[in-house]
Amino acid sequence: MRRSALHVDFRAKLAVFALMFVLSALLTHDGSVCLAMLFMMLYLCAQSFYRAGIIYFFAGCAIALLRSLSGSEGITIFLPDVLLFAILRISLVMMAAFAMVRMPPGEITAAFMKMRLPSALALPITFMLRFAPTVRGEFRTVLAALRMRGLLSLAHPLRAFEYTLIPMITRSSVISDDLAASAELRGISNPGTHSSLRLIRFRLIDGILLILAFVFSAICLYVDKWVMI
Amino acid sequence: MVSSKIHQESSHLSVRNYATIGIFSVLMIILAIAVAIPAMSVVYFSMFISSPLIAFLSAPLFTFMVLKVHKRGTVLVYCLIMAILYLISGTPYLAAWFVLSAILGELAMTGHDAYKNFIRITISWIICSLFRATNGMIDIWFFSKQYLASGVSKAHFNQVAHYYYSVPWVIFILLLTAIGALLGGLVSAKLMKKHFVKSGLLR
Repeated sequence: MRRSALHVDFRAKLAVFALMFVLSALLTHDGSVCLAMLFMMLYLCAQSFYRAGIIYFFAGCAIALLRSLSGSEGITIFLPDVLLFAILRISLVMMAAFAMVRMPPGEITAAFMKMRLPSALALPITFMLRFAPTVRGEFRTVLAALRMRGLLSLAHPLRAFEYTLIPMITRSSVISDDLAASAELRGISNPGTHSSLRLIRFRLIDGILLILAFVFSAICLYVDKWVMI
Repeated sequence: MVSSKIHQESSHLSVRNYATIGIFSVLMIILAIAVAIPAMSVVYFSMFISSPLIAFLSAPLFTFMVLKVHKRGTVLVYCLIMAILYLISGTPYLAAWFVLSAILGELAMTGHDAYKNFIRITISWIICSLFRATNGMIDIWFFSKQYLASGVSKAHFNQVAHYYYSVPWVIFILLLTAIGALLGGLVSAKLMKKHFVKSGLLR
């Protein structure tokens, strides 16, 4: 992240994420979903995630356009209406999730501790957020190795499944041990009071961001219910 | 006394165990999304095949997670993570549903050495898969107005409602899911023995 990027507290990001989830379920028109995505694009750009914000927004607009062009029929059986409907709404939630998964794990752990979430739930969620962005790369490596050896074949789906899954499980198991060892070294199991080098503070800017998120959500809901009929 | 204390401590979930649960939960979620989203292309596929296929494909991940951790509370924590995700996603009713799944899934693992027993692990996985398979049905049964108002097409709603309001079809879907989870459990047992038990990675 660049120096000029806006630093948002994890709790504020979590609230925005929950808000977008609720909004994706409440908005009935694609236009209003795109409006919410516009807000999320600005939210991501403010945190220097320009590429992700712009790609998600324009992809969302393209899906909304496809859906409006096809009516309620969808585009052939490969892109039916319900799939376009789901992808559009999932994209909105993914935009909110993107800012969360890109946070340093130490900051997430410290934020969870401040939230007094039981460690039985806080720890696995922290590891989930740390691991999620790397899954694609891990899968790509495994698949590339299998393809190079000519082991990926649709003629033997069960064998291909085994050859893909076993390295993935082994790799994930090693990663989980490494991440746990790294967390242990930093004293995560210490029963005493934990401190963090990062300042975990809900600042004025986080409050303003949350107010803005609620205002934009209210605007999206108003547009959805009263303008787009 | 020292050895009994060490034994007592090791029966609790450690940071390493939480890391395993978290990472394998991510893999199961990603696999479920990777199957469920393309499955939406064909409504019948998404209703009848998606849940059994997810139950089958995710079974090795679940089995490995349980066998690697082999401590009481693994299934409970895994299902509670799912419940939290549903809670954040604005569907508290599904979160409550998953808490029930967590309790039943963990109950299936009670008893000595159940966390090393492939049959018990498969039973627990069948319970978790059945609860997951009913997610879509709950939306239609109890929140049909909201589901329809969400902007989904009427034609799609009618197709789905036709099957989800029919008891024989619901039983058929759940039966398929249970078979998928059972087959997944059987295949997992073979894979674990072949690749991980023999190599000593799992006990």
